[in-house]
Amino acid sequence: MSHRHKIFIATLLFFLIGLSPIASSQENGSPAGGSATHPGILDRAVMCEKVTDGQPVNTAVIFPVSQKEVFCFTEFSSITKKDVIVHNWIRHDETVARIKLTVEPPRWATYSGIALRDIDQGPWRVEITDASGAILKTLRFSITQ
Amino acid sequence: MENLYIFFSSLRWQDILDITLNSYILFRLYILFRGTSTLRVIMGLVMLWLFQRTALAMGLIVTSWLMQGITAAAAIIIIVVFGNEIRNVFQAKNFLSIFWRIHHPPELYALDEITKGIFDLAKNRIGALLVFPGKKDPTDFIRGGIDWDGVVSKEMIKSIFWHNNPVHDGAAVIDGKRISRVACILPLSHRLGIPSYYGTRHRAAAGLAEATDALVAVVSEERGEVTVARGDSMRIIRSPKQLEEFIRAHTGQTIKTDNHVVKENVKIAGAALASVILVSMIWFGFTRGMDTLVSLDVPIKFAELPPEMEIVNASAGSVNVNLAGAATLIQSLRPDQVQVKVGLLNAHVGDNSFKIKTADISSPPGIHVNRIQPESVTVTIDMEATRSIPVQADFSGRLSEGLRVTGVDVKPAFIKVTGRSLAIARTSTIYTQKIPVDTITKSGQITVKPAFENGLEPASGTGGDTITVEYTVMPKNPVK
Repeated sequence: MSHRHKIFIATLLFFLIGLSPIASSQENGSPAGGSATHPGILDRAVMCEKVTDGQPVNTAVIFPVSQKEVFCFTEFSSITKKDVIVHNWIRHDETVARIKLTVEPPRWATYSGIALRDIDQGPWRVEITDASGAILKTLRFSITQ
Repeated sequence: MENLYIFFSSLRWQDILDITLNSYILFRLYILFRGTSTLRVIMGLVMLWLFQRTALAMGLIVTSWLMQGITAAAAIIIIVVFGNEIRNVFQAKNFLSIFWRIHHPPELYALDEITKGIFDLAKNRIGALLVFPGKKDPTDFIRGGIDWDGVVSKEMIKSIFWHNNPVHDGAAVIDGKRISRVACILPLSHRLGIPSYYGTRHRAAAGLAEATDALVAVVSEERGEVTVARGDSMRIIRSPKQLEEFIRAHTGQTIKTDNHVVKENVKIAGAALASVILVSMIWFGFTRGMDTLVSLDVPIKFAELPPEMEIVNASAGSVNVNLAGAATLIQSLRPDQVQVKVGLLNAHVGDNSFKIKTADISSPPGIHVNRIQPESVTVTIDMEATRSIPVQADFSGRLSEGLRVTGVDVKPAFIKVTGRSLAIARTSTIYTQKIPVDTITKSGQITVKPAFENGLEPASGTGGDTITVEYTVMPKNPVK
């Protein structure tokens, strides 16, 4: 993690969300996807203002710096074993934070976030990768005034 | 002893050739000019030069300056004053003999036959003109004539100048034991001191003798006397014996004893040895002195770069080279004579480190590289490449309160760019120019230009100079 950017990880909480629907999905016997290094199927990946009750709030691609923080929310299914994913926060081609998150079978949702400052204005992206570094999805967004 | 071995083992084959070649040139100069005053003057000139160098080494400023001037002037004076002697050497009958002949064996003349023939002609009052060439080839001064190439005999001489012989009216040229040409026309002398009773034949003899180093014998038809002309003098010859002595002196056809030959050979061997010693001393003085050091900043020349590659950066544009050599060589060293060349034939894209070796530095012979700073140089090599890179909209400004942009669709999503491969490798996204969000109140689209960085540009024929950005705007949900 870069010292220049005082990244505030909103939380590394990994928690089970919507226990019943995800559990039911597991129970429905959805096939586990991915190879040995694949953490599962990435069902949802969004940028949002907040995560409340395990759900992303106000998903968007432009966030004002006055909002103070921004989050990347990811949701996986068909997870076969406890695994690790990474959220790489990149500002204008410079990686400012690499946040490792754990995912567990059968379904798991997790998120990371950063605190925003004035100098963080500009184009950003979050690359969501598996443990081996393979990019699962790239989310692009902007931080504005 | 070991030092001596190291010293000789450091000699290159070029050094041996250098010494041998110059020793031979010096030896040839001695052989060509021996017996002439030119050699003595050259020796004097060498002494002057040595004196000037000594004066310079001792710090005698005015003396060395004066000696230098005298030496330079003397060299010109020698060429002017001894022009004839120098010309005679290079006008030798056999030009190649300048390079290899040591002894100049005199042409052997059939002296008895010649003198008897000439005096028989004189006795019978038959006019005759006979040329005995010296060291200088007289061909340039002799016109006309007929090739004869007959063996000399008194009968032959008499028959050539016999009144009824068609070739009797002219000069015969005698080269050793053969009469090479007859009926030759010689240049007439315009000298005033020639006696009035001498006719055209005598004037012709005097004319050639003045112009060349030939000896010319004349038989007077009127007086039956024999005259020889050489240089500016003409002399009446009274007897065959006297004529023989004259011809012997002129041709160098003297009777040499074994002792005399050995003495001359020893003299020549001594001259050869002296030449080798002198040149070796000069050579070692010039090249083996390592008492002087010089430090030069030499630009690095990068060579053999594959045409598709280019140098992006080099950690050093020049190196500091410390050179050692004799003071004379170092003083005459010009910076452009030292070059540093680094070969990039095996270079790859990215950073390449090259150690600069002594072999990479070229300097004049006799000058050695002591130290190179820096010892290595890092060269960044790049080449042209093309790649499709994703495009991202770059928003700025302040979005109205209560609104959020939930989606952005960029077209084209990728742009094919061209540029240096290293720049392409570190570019993961092509951003658009800034798109202001202050005026956005509802979903819509905008056309903007890409903001290329790192010297990249759109690949030709692929478009990519405009980007359409579609955005979706929704009201914000209240946050708990």
